[in-house]
Amino acid sequence: MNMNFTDWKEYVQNMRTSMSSVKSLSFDKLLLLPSVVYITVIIGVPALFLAYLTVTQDVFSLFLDTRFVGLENIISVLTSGDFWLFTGNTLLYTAGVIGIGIPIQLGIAIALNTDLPYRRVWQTLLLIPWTIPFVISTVMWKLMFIPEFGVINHLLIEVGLIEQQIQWFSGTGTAYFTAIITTIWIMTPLGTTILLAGLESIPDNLYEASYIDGAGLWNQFRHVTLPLLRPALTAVLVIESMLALRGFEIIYTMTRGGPGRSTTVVAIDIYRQMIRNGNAHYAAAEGLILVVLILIVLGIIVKGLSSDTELEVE
Amino acid sequence: MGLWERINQNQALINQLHRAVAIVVLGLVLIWLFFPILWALETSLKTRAATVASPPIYWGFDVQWQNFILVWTETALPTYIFNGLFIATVTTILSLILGVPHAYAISMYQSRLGDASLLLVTITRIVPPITILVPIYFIFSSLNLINTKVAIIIAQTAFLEPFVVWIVKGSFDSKSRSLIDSARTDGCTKFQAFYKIMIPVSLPGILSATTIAWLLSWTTFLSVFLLATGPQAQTVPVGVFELAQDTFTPWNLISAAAIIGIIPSLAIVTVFQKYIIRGLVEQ
Repeated sequence: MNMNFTDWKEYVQNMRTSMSSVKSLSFDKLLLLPSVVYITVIIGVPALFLAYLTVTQDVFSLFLDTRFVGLENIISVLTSGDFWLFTGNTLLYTAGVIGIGIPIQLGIAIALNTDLPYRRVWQTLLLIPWTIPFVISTVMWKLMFIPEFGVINHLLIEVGLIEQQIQWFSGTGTAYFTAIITTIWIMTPLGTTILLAGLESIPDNLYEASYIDGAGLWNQFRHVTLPLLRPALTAVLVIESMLALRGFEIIYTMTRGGPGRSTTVVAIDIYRQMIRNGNAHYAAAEGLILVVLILIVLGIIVKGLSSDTELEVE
Repeated sequence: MGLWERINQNQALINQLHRAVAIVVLGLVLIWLFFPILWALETSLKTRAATVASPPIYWGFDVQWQNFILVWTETALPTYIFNGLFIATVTTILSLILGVPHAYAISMYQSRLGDASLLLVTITRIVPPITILVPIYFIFSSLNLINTKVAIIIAQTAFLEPFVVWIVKGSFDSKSRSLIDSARTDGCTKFQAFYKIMIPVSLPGILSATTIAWLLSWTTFLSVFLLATGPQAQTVPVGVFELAQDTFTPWNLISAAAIIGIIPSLAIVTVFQKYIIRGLVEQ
């Protein structure tokens, strides 16, 4: 083995560079490793277990004896008529929340996008409903909706809009309404804050320029505000629809999924299957399908708001 | 010239109208947002009979301050509050310890591991909690960890830490790399650059993440509802939920519990309002 001196020098230099790159790699890897390990374990292991639960069924009892059933669990969820009822309920609820809620939040944000005094004060006040635990907010609204002694019925009667007490929790449509209104109430701070921040980031001179070009208020809105608000709008839409699609506690506290099962959403059914029926495999499969459902809706939203579509405003 | 055209042409007039509309809208929105809270407060001060009065009583009733004492001593509310405070604080601290370095690493350095970890963080934020709680419930159940605060902390940290990474990364991203470079040429080690330079500079962003993470943990329902079955580990949202489901508990007490449950939220918002807004917008 005859290595001459130049070879040796090269060898040592190569070692040095690779070692120092290993060293500089090590620092940032050291920083992120604990976090990555933690997430991988605490989320990854259950995720794997979820996959396992989805494709197996009990022979006698959980963990002890299961047999591989492939897609059977998923198919049994998809072919159960109930599941489609729950999916429809979930979509209806979500549509109500974002269809009614976001225009309201946008309207509020537009109205407030001006030089108002005491900014810190009212911004803090506006934020408060978001920071209250959802269950507590729902309980407060439930108190107002209770038929005989709730304020809402009373106010409606006083104003003359209705004559008899509305039985909010006995009818499907009204039960939805209670859940949707409560959710919108809870989400208002979130949507308004994000949209307001988005509106404020639009430079004034753009409005001036369009004004000089002859654009009135409405056209300014269409061609300056809306396009530039797109990122904020997308963010609000994504956040709120995701919250609504996986929503559990608001509806469960308000209506328990009733009357009957007419407001039961997918999340509630997963809970029932898991805890009441102990049916881990069905619940797991259902949970998986919920993820797919959310991804589909997310995809539709992002596609619908991508840069190549015109924001039509009527 | 019609009114509309005249308005359109006068920018100052538009601004004045805008302000007027803004004040009206703000007033309406504040009423809309605060009426339920005030009504709950009113209800919590009524006697049991007064709460079921039809039509409802708006004023002139006997104020029962003792309802608050009653709900504090007769229910497990103090325990719920303690549990909530404990869980929220530990979860937040843990999430910060794990998340801030992670955010720094992804923000300041390039590596495949870093990119992969960012993907992992993003995926975790999209997964619906209920879906991942199904296996978590069964795993903890077989480990006999149901109804322990530890289990809830572990689960919540898994959900909240990616969130912290996301917000803090955004904060680091907006800081200039030259800060670190000049520190390094002055002789700092990488680690010193991290905790002596970057962290103090990014403190607002980190505080945002801290506040929101704490609030999210304090207010979270599902993880506690599924993983806790008794007062050892239950927190305020679950506690109020149980109270409201119990047909024997009168509404004045339920409302009193609700009001007490709001207080930490209100305190945090008032003090950290700036950071919360920042954190919300960073999303």
